[in-house]
Amino acid sequence: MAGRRSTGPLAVALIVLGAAAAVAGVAGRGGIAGGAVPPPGRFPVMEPSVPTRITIPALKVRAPIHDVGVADDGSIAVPDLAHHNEAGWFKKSPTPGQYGPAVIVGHADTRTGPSIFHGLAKIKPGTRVEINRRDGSVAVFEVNSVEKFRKADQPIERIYADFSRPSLRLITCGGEFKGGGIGYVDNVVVFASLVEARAP
Amino acid sequence: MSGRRAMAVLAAVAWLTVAAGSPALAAPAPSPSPSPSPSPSPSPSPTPSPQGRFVRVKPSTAEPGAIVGIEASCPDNLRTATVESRAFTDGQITLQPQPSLGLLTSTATVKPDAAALTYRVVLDCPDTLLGGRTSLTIVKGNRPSHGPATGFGGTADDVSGSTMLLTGGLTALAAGLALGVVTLRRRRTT
Repeated sequence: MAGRRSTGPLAVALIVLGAAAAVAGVAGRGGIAGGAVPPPGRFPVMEPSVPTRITIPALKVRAPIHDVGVADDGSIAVPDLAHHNEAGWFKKSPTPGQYGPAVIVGHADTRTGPSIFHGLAKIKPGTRVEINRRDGSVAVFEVNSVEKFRKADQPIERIYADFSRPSLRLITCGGEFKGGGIGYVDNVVVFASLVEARAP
Repeated sequence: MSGRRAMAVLAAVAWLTVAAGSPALAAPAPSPSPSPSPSPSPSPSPTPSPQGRFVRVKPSTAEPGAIVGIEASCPDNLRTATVESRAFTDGQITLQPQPSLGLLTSTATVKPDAAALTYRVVLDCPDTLLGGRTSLTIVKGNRPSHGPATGFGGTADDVSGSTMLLTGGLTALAAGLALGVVTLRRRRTT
């Protein structure tokens, strides 16, 4: 009799707690912001000029940009750990505002805490990203989509070789962390298109 | 081969604006300010050059071997004009009148061995000394073999913590459901 009475509330408590924990767990995993905003039909085109600064108001990101080249393993080099809160423009890609995809990389985290692009996966389509350029102009991009790819298996053409309009790719790490020589398994890639060219 | 190379280098020095990314390029020539117009309509170009002369390359960034479109406007758009650039396999391209667009157009192929530079593209209108100019940036080595290493794992626990919460939650949920079923059954049988 006493046993019977106690199992009912316990079952209810387990169900409620379990459901709440599962929901919190799913939310905390922080998938990628869904949806997509199509690129504009008409767009400006800018003369070449190297980027100097990136601003993403929605993520409270404001940081200098430096050039990065190719690392020994054939991937894009990244800012060193001392500059983990700065972004790197891949200097073999077009400058932001020219036709083609300007590629900017940044760290998601250090060994101990978040870095410049930590919140990149949560950026929403439609978000504005501003890039200041050395000629004094500002290239304003609008996010079209946020996607996640395996580092070893990426749609190279889509990310790096679409020259149909001036666009921007913001790249950082994401997914499962394996450590060692692998680090994070995935890259988070933000696809954005030029919507405004602000003159100096 | 090396002779050709040397010539190409000489030509580059004489002709080209050096180094992609050189900001010097953005400064001069307020001329054909690249205008927004992917549409085929005769574009209401915001900053038309004097007498409506301009030349545009679409796209103005390309990889070696790519085919690019050229659009131009001369004082007389019913006659052919020419465009020259060291970036093209044919040094000189003839533009054909497109009366329906009010423009001159053609396509050009970028040299398969073009260097990663910003090249000058020069328009020559017939019977006039004036033309127009724009630039074409060639990019190379822009496709990395795989994704960059942009994390050291300091916030990876955020994810694994959530995963633990999720698995723990689901386990508790399952246990609660099982216990509930058992409880109800017992109630029914007594």
